[in-house]
Amino acid sequence: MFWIFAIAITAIACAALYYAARGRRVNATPAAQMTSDDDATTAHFQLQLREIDGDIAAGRLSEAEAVAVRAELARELMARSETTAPATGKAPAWALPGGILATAMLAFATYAFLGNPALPALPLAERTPPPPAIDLDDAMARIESQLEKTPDDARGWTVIAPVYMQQGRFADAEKAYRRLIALTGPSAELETNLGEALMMAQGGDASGEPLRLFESAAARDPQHVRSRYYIAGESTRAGNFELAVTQWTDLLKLGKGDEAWVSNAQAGLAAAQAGLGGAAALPDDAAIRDMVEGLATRLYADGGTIEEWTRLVRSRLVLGQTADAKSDYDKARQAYPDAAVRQELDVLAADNGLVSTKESQ
Amino acid sequence: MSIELGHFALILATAIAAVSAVLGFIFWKAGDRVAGFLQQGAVLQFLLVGAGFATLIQAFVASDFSLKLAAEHSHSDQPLLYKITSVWGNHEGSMVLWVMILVLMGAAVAAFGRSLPKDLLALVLATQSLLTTAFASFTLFTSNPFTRLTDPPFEGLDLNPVLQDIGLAIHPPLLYTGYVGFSICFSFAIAALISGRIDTAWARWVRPWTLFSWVFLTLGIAMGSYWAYYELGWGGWWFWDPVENASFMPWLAGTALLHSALVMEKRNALKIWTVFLSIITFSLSLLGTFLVRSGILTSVHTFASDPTRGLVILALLAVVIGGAFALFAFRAQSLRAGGLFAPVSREGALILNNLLLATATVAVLVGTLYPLLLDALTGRTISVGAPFFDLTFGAIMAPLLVILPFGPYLAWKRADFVSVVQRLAWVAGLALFATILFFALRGGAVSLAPFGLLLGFWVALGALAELQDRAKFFRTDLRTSFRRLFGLPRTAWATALAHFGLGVSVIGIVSASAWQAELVTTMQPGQSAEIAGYVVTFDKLEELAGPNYRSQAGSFSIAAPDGKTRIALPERRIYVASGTPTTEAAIETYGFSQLYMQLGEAEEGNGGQVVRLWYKPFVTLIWLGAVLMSGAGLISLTYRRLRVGAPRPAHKSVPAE
Repeated sequence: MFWIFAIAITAIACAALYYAARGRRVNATPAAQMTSDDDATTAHFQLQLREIDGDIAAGRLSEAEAVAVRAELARELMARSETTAPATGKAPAWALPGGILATAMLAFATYAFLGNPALPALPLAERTPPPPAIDLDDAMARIESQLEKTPDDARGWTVIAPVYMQQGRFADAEKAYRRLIALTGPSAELETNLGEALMMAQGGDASGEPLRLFESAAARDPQHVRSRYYIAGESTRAGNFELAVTQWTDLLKLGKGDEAWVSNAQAGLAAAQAGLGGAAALPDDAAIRDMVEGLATRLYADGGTIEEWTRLVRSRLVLGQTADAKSDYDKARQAYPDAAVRQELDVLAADNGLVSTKESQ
Repeated sequence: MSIELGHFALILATAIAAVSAVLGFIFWKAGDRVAGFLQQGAVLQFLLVGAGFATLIQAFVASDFSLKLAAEHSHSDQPLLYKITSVWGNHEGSMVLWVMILVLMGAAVAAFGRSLPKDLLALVLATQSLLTTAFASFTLFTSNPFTRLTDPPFEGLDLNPVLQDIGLAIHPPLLYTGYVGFSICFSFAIAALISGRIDTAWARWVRPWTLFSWVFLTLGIAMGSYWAYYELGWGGWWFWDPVENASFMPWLAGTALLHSALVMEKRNALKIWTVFLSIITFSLSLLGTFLVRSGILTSVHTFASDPTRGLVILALLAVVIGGAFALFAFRAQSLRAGGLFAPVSREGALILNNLLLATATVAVLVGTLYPLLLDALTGRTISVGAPFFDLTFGAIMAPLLVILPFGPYLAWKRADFVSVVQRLAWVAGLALFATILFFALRGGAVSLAPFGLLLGFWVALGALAELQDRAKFFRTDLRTSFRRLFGLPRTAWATALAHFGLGVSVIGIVSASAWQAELVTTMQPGQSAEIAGYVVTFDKLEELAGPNYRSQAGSFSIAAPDGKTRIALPERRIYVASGTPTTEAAIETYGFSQLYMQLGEAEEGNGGQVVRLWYKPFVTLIWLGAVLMSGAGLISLTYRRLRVGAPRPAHKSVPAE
């Protein structure tokens, strides 16, 4: 297709040159074609003489000046007719057709050397952009630059905030959650997320603003698990075991027993009770290990929901099987490349230093 | 596919140009048929290069990053205007623009030149085609704008933020039209040298092209200067930067050419000198292109330095300029010298004008090239800066400005100097009075400023006085005077307006340099600063978001001495794609004067901002004068009647008028 157009353009150009050389110029007035050099010169001098007459009539030139000008023009015209040799010479008949042929050959040879005839045009509007998850940094950069322009885009902040958490950029995550709260109003989820970011920035210490945020979230939604989980955890961490036991126990009442967080909460309760000096009410360690292995085998073989993967990773961490947790986490990222759906898992992994070095494919 | 067709179109245009040049130079005597071929060839070159240029623009607008040039210099977030201007906001694209204007000029000669003698037309078009071949080949083989990427990125690297401005749409096309327009004068000069014929018809052709190019070069330089003034943020409008000099030298030479072409058209004198100046002017345009495009200099104009390109341009320069001067040396004596004239005459005054302009050009040339040569030969780096140019250029321009008002008063061929001095004496008195008045109003220390102002007023008022004199105001009744005034040929108005514009520019330059006030300070929100009677209050810092940048804008209210308040918004911008910071100055114009504000760095922690303030009295006169000069050129250009300069008759008994 390209070559058809290229040949057509060349043919048109060559035809135009050929007809011009034959003296059949389009739009050429007969007068212009007839004008010979001598005529042109004479016409020029006659024009000048008429201008002088006009100047006299308009009073711009005195009679004496006019005489002097005319005398100069006459001298000029005489001098010219003495020196001007008429232009002679003739181009051989082959010269112009040869030139036209040379033009076409030169053009195609040069283009063959420089061009990329097979390469189509690729306007941005007609291209499919690559899936955003392929390169996380690239996607982040795009979302960030989009958010620079539309800082009121709550959806954008929702997508980018958990990724900040996962990448350990807690200050950025904090900014994103604060922006979201400003945009959509506070909710138990958002307050807990913000609290998480602040807590991570403080190295796991939830005292201060994080704790206040968790308490606010828990007050906002009495059924909200994650905020209560952190509150109980903070009480345990702070050594406030009596309160912690109550909080863990209350929390465990919210669960049906098979949720991912339940085993952690049980571990927390045990720790708090241990702190109080009471007996640990932990399930049998070996039984837990069996359950976890069973879950892992099923997920690796048949896949599962993201919640199940999250539970698996969390269980591994509780059991201290960090290496397994890491490979489980990588596997989960492969199964769920979209960072938005694995928020909880990413946060969990980030909390425990499981940030994956290789990007998921 | 359209990009490749554009590529092919540019190549085909180059091939047509190459064949036209060869045929034209060999068979220029062969008359109609060769001339017809060359005319058609010139029109085709224009159409094809135009098509190539259009495909580049189309690719930039569609953000087609398979075009390497677009991927490197554009971004899909840029506003449409900057997507288009990005085409020439880089080395390769600007060369295409250069070639584009070159072939446009050639096509114009082909279209308007039907009444030209055929051999002259053939030679002019052959020279023009030779230039097109050289520059289009340079573009295609060392800096091809049509290079493609097989694996294009999804986003471009963005245009240099400094260039993301309306100025890029105005300054380069104007400047290039000026630069390249002089190629026509050059081609006519070469044609005259080869054919050995040079007559009034020749001059009648060269003068409008000179005027046309000069008008655009004047506007291009003035707009470039104003762009640098408001965009680069240092408050200056001329720096004697080598790149500025590169455009200024053709302007000086072109101004000389303009005046000598005038002598030639009207009086058939100064022929050889006009030919010489035509060659010099375009050579200086080429030198400018070389300096800017070779990467020898570093400035906002250098896009990418590549030694190969520099060498190729240098070789082109050597061939074109060297060839032209060699031709001149061999053939100049075959040209018949023109009319005679006395030393004191309009012709004589214009020669003096030419000599002074040529000397000024040489001074600038030496100041620009000497450091480069010294660096290349000995490795020593020296800097020739503003003091050198102010001194040498000023010293040469001062006498030029002194004699300028005399010129239009002098009669052609022979003139009476004493009577002219008598007629101009009152202008000198008036200029002195205006200077003293201006100086008294502005005050200030003893300096050269009053002398500069005096020159400015002398030139401006002298230009008006010439009109007054020709209209015989105060020497006859008012009605006759007005009738005479409006009966004056348009060229007389153009001369007066151009000279008046020069005077206005001089006044602006002197005033803005001598009485500029500058203040650099740190301001917290709520604080005020005072400069030249203007009280500037920092209200607040705002965060703004543009299409492809975000910015911090300081909101300042300015209380003028007359009590009115305006809001100014100087900005600091970060362009998102490249992360490049820029500053956008805020300029408030009061009459002819300007208050210039730039937002500097933020102070750590306390919300304070470094603010630079300048008060520049009458600074706009600098550019206003340039616009007046260009306007005068346009007026003169519309006047296509043949004017024959009437000599002053030799008989003393006849009155001078």
